[in-house]
Amino acid sequence: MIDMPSGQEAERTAGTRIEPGRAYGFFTDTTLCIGCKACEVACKQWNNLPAEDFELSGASYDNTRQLSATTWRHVAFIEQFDHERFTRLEAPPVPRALAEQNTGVDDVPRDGQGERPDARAMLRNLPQGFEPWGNLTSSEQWSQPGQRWIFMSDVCKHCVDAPCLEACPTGSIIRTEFDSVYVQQDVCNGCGYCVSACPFGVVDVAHDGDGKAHKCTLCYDRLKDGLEPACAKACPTDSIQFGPLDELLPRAAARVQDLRSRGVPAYLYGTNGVLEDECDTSRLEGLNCFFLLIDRPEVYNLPAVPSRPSSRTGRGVAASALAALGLTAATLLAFGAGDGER
Amino acid sequence: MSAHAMSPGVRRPRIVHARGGGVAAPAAPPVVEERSRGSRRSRAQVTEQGREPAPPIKEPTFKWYIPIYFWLGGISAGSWMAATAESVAGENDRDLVRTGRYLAATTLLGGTALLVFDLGRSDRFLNMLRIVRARSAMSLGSWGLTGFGALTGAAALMQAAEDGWLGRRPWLARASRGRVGQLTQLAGMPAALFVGSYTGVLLSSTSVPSWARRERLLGPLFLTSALSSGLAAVSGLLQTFGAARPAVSRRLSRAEVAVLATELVLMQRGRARTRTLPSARRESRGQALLRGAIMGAGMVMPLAIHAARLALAADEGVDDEAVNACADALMHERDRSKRWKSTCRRGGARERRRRNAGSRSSVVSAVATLAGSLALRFLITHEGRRSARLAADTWELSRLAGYATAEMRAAGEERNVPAARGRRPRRRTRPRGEVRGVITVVQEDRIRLVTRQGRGYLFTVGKRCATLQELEQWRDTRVPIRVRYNGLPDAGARAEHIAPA
Repeated sequence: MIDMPSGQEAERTAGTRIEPGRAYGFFTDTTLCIGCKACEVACKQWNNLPAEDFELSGASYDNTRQLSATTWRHVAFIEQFDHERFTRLEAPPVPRALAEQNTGVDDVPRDGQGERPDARAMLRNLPQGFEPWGNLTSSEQWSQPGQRWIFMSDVCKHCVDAPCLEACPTGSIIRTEFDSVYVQQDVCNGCGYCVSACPFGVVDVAHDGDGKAHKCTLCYDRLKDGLEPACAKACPTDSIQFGPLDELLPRAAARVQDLRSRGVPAYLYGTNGVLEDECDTSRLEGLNCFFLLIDRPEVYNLPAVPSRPSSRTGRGVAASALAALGLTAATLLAFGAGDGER
Repeated sequence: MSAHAMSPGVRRPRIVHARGGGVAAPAAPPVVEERSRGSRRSRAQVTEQGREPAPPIKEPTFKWYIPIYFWLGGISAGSWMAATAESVAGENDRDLVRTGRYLAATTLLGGTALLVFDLGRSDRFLNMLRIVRARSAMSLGSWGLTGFGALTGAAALMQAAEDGWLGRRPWLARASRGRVGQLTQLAGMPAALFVGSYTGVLLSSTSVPSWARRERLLGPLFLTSALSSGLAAVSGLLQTFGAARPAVSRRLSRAEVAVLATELVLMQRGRARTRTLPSARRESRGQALLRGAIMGAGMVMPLAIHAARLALAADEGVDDEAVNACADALMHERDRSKRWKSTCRRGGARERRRRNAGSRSSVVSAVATLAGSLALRFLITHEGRRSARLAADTWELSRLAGYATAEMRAAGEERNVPAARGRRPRRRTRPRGEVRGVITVVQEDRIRLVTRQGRGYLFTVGKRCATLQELEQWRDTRVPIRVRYNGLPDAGARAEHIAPA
């Protein structure tokens, strides 16, 4: 017999108790993500999701490319490499200390002058201590595109005012007791309106599968049993942190302060105004799964100001009603205006 | 969220943006359109700048028959409108009412079938009626369709009874012609207008930028398109079967003129609303041609035909024969007898058709309106698809929501929301001006000025304006102060001249 420790597993793996009636979510710290895709795999395994086509995106190392009906975690790879450093074989910016040594880098002919430079000779001539990503301190690397490779484990944001939930005409999408947004598979009829409503392109209909809408469930089944979601548990660097929002937010804020004091331009995305310097998610009242970012939201494929589609319904109906009144009056007038015929 | 109270503490370092073309994921992502493939997994486009990310939003999942549903639902609503207007305000012409009722029921049935086929799980279409959700246009639409469907069905049955399809039921026939029929028609009007317009609202209540930008226009546009196509379908059928009495045609024409004119205006307004979206700016030639064809052949041409017919009718007095003669003059000569009334009766169908086949120009205009309306639904749907595929469109939506890009910030424009053409929002404060008030707060190089009306302004004190001691003295003595400033007060306006008033 194995001695089972008492209490929930989440208390040991995520340091928090999971109890209904509290809002839970993810705090995804993109500066800690190493792009290992353990979360993607853990998600697929736990949720029994099939692999997608083996396709190379051809333009990035990111071959998952996007969230879909069968991919509920997607580690976005954002390559911010300075291509000139490698393709045009120009001298890299050499730190001053190294530049004082005679390196011979300057002897390399430029484009359009003389022969094409020999890449191998160029690499041989590199100064000692040269690193392809530059001899930069880590915070310098973080704050400079051209030197860095950013990863972000993307997931359903479980918005506080969820557009998909508001759009759903069958009531299939519900808010659970953990404040997550959940698609009830036995109700969904695959109308696809949630797909167009989602401002983040998360939810998708499995056209080649069962024809229903699918997305991240925040591991609803695991939460009910006191387990933290599979992705957060699998994350080896704690880039994905699971917990109740009232605990996650202060943690995220402290992390932002820490990074800023080290010169990294960090800010939060999805906190309804808290440290949201580059974005504004207040129209959705914030997101239960929020992110720490260091570049503009678009770089991560996130809209800076996600809108709430259902806010347009009322305006549209009002405008239509006005038009309907006018057109009805016009038509009745057109039909009623006598010709003096009889 | 208690975290609201947290202060940033450490100032945020600026995000350094990539310069030049050699860096992937640049500050302004290149505008490259993604094409979706059969597998529905869109592929990356390799650009000179490097990787082009997948679109930030998913393309709408509607299949090709959804625009056809929009069209059929519209015809249903429009023909109901025609039947109602005729029975209530017109002369209760039975041919028109009959056509309108049958058309409304059949097109709605066909459209609903398409709608059900579009569901991923068609067997669960009744799940739409589990709930009512005011925030979901789709939910509202399902209920609207159900209600309108019941009424069109009832009206069609009533009409069938009137026409003797259901055996001899004279009381039903009387009811159909009389008050009961009129009341049914009137009761269906709100539902008809809703079914005609909600499809546009449904599209604009999504995250698709091209639709979202036209939140107040798509509903009315779809409604006008519904009414014009419904009226056209009714008049086209009447003309084809030779049942169009000239007075009826004139009434339909008058309504059609009003509706088509409105539709044209709405189309134009819609263009203005989407003007700044990259997908609209970089419209393909085919799309521009289609729009031109819709507006030209589907709206302007029918409008001109109807207007000409009405003008001819006005010129010639109310001589129906003459109107038809003029309208058909270019088509071909016809024998016109004054006995058309008698031929309209049962049994004289062939004769009636020959004499009263109406004008061919009316049929042409009806067909053009119907085709234009169908093409319009496809065009709007296509615009939405393109817009969803184009990441730059979504970014533009954020910009229009008041989000300043790095470039704009560098240029000193904090939040640049371009005004709609022709109607610029009135600035409440001039970017350069003068205010009088009392200094209430002095903090380093910033002051707060409160006017006698109680309005507070925040200013940055310009160089050589006033010393800190002076400012503090003015604050303590509360002397009236005159401030000449540059920029928007409360948004970093600089006080250039500060002195006691």
